[in-house]
Formats: sequence, structure tokens, C-alpha cells
Amino acid sequence: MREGETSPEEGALAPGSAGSVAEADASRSSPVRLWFRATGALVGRELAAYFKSTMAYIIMFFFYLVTGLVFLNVFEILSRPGTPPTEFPMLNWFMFTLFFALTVIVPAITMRLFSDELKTRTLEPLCTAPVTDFQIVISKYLAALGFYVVLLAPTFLYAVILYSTAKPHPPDRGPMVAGYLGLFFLGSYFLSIGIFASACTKNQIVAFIGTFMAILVLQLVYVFRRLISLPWWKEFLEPFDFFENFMDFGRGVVDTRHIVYYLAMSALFLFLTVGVLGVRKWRL
Amino acid sequence: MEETSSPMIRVENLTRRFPGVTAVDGADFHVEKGWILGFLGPNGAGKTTTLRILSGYMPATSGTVSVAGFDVHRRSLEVRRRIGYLPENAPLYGEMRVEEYLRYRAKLKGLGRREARRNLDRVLERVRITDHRRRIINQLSKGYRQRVGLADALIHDPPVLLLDEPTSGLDPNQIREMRSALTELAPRKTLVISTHILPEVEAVCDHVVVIHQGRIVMQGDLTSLKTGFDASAPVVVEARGGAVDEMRSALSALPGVRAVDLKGPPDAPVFEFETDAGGDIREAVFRLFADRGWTLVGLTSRAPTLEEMFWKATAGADVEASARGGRGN
Repeated sequence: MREGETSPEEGALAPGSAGSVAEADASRSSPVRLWFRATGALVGRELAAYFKSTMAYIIMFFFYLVTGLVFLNVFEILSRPGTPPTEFPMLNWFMFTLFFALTVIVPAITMRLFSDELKTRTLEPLCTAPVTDFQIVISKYLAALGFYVVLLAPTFLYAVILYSTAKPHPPDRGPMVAGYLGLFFLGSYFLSIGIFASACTKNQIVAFIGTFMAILVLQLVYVFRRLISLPWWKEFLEPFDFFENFMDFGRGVVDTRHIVYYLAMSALFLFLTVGVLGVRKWRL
Repeated sequence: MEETSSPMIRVENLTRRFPGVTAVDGADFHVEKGWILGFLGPNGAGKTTTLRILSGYMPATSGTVSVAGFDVHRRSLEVRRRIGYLPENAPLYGEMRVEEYLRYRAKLKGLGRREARRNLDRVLERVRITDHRRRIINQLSKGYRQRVGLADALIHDPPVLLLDEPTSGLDPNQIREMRSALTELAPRKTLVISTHILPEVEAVCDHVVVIHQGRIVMQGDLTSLKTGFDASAPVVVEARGGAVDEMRSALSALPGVRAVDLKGPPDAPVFEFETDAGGDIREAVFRLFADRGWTLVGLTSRAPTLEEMFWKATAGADVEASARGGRGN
């Protein structure tokens, strides 16, 4: 019996070795590398799980159906003779749709992220692997964001078509790119809300509804602002008025304040999600 | 470094409270390297909770736990690198294939690609699911899923394994296979197997800790419990060919013999008695029977079975718990 002899090649499950993986590995790979390897594995697994789920294809089907119809509509309106060639309202209409599509899409994307793991108890092997709660949360977030980007990418084609077929000359490309940038960061924010909601409940439906309501309320702030004429109300709600913020992107204005805002809120909800995970362990 | 050489697992005054119930109450035990510990208790006794604390999944309310020399609370990641944990009912990602899942778990645990591939092959062999490596986990039977869970626990070759009811839901054949797979793992690895099935502990483990209503009521070394003649245990004499009363008084007269109980019919009496500490009474009994011309059919020590000790320990705890009943949580 080769007691205690563990060459780097043979080490792992050789007879006589009492388990030297941790030590051997630590000497070979830096902690940073290990961190990325683990997080990468988490993200990869999560993304693969999306595309193996039926939900992903349902989301894609309805999303492309709706956006396709909107695109057709816009295109048709603009093709009518006599319509003034303005790119601003056209793109606005498109972005408007996407903006509200988020209300349904984001909860559908995020509902299963934690709720499913809570329900099937797969959170237990996940949390007893040598990965931190932060790694778990960030990997789910990145996977959701990745899916979101993959989902949105084909619609870029619509924008491109609208732009390139405009007469007599193609309009400024700025609003198009800025619009999608805005969608990306706004998506990041809403997705992080969805992840938080998913971590709060075992029930995917509840997660969906919670996220849906939260996003809806946030989006309708601009309506509330205009409907209620109390002076302080308008001021108070200004930072939450997404529509204006978002429409800046729609106009081609990339205001870094908005980006920072969206990123900060994403970070906030991700932080809260890590917190919820911790609370679960204490209460369980 | 906080590494100490022994014991492998040390639990000191561990308490875990939930709203309304104290799941673990001042548990104290330790596990040395190479042991196969049976963590035995009725359902709801606190076994799963204790394992979850050992694995770092759940924090304790108070007390200290160290595994492989690392404190579970302060160095949780280090602990998790050194344990393989198989939760009850082996929760797995159903949509993945067996080898896909195991490769993913290997990466989580820090194995490099080459190492992961090598370990994967070995671990599939060890739990005997090599032929099913490409199957989707959802399509596997319970027995195979449990094996995948065990493979996951083994993939990074940890020194400590924590297994929560590893044979639950398996049919007798699968149970036998799982048990033999587990016994093969010691003494290279230290195992803690939680179960409510007594025969399982007797079959697989060499040490036992009994937990009941959150308290450790018994711990011991099974080898001494199970084998051989235990001089401190009651002696059982099966006799023939003599008058029962004569035999009884003769036995009582032997030095060190305490009250002699008579069981069995007059023509096949069985005498049971305890002896004073130390000393093997067997020779004296044999000589007595030889001198008197009686027939000695059986002479054994009735070492208590694990089952008896279990009932005694848990019944006692019941009484104790009810006496302290009104103390609140």
C-alpha cells in the first residue's frame, strides 16, 4: 500500500490517499482562477438549463410574436404615403412596446431561478459546495442577463430594417443603439428585482406575480406623477420616473447618470438577494 | 493553520433552535479519522439538522463544530472543500446528464479539467454507474439517482463524507449495494451515516452516536458491543439433567454471582445472573456442572443488542425530557 505517497498525477482516488485534492489543487491553481472556474460553471449550467426548459421557448415565441406584430404595424404606418419622415416617434413607439414587454418577460425569465431550487431542495448541495452565496447569486444574475440579451438580439434586426429602408435618407443611428443600451441596463435592474423575488419564495407563480407587480408599479410611476397634482408628489417620485429616463435613451442620449442608477439598483437587489439566502439558512 | 491531527469531527455543546422547537440541544461528540459513524435516531430527532450544520449549510445557534481541523462557522469554505455531503433523497438537477452533472460539480469544487475527467471515470466505476453516464438524470430510478448523489459526494475525493439516510427509498438489492460501497470507503475516509434503521448501523458502522429529541443519549464503540464475551454483561446458562432448585442454589453460591433468575421450563431451565465486576465466571460454571454431573447445554453472555441499548437510551431520554418539560425553548 502506497501510504502517503501522492504524486500530482496519481493523487486523487489512489489507494492509500486519504483525500489530498484540496491541498494539491490549492497549490496548482490560484484562488482567482478557482473562483472563475466555479462561477463560470455555475453560469454555464444556468444558461444550459434555460435552453432545456420549455419556459424559455414559450417566452421567445410570444415575445417574437408581439414584437413582430408591432414592427409590422410601425412599418405599415410609415409606408403610407404622406407620413412625415421622422425617426423619433417611430423608434419611440418601438421602444415603448419593448419597455412594457419587460413587465411580462422579466418575471418569466427570473421566476425559476431560485424558486425552483428551493422547491426541489437542490439549494442544499449548491450551498454545501465550496462556493459563496455571492457567487451563486451573481451567476444566476449573469445567466438571466445572458438569456435576456439573447432574447432581445434578434429584434435589433427590426430596428435595422426600419432604419435602412427609410427614405429619402437614413436617419441618425444614435437612437437605435442608445435605445438598446437603455433596454440592457433597464433589463439588468428589473432582472435583479426578479431574482430577489425568486429567492423569497418556493413558488414560481408567486415570484412571477411579485416581480410583475413591482415592475408594473415602477413603470407606471410616470402616470402617477402626472395624474396626481400634489406638488411634492411630483418631486418625490422624480427619480423613479423610468419612462423619462428611458426615453432619454430612446432619443439617443446616453446619460451616464441613468446607467449608474440602473447599475446601482441592480447591485442593491443582488445584495438583498444574498441577504435573503443568508436569512433562509438561519430560519430554514 | 488551524489543522489539528485528531479528531476529524468535533462537536461541542451544539445547539440549534428554531422558532418553537429546539432541534439540537447541547450535543457533544467527536469522530476520529477512519471511523464509520452511525448517527442514529428516530425521525425528527435532529439528525438532518446536525448534518446540515456539519456541512456548513446551516449555522448553529450556539456551540462549536470543527471538521478536519477547521471551524465550520469561521472557515466554512475550507470545510466544504473537505467534505462530501449527500442530503436526504439526493436532490439533483434532473435536466442534466449524469456525467454532465458530475463534471459541473467537479468544477464547483475546484477540480481542473484533467483531474475532473480522471476522477469522474473512477467515481463512476466506484458507484457502478459507468454504463449510465450519458443518461438524463430525470430518467434514472431512485437507486441510481442515489448513486449519482454518492458519486457527487466522492468526486473531489474528500476525507470526510456526510450521508443523510443514504439507503432511504432503495429496494433490498440496492440497499446491499449501497452498504457495500460505503464499507469499501473506510478507513481511507471518515464516514458519518445518519439513519433511523438500526440494522443498518449494525451492518455498516463501527461506532454509533444515538440522538433523541435533540440530545445525544448514547455513544459507543460497536465492536465491543457486538462481539465476544462481555464480562460485565449478564451470563446465561442453559442446563439439563438436574433439579432446578439445586442448580439454582449452586450457581448462587459461586463467588461473584448475584441474584440468579430462572427462565424456561423445568426440564430445560435457563439461568441468568449478573456477576461482580471483572472475572470470567465461565470456567467456574463449567467445573460446577462437571462435578455435579449436570449437562451444560449453553453458556453465553447476554451482551445487549444495539436495539436494546437504543430503546433503553431513548426511553430514558423520554422520561428525562418530560420531567424538564416546562422549561420552554
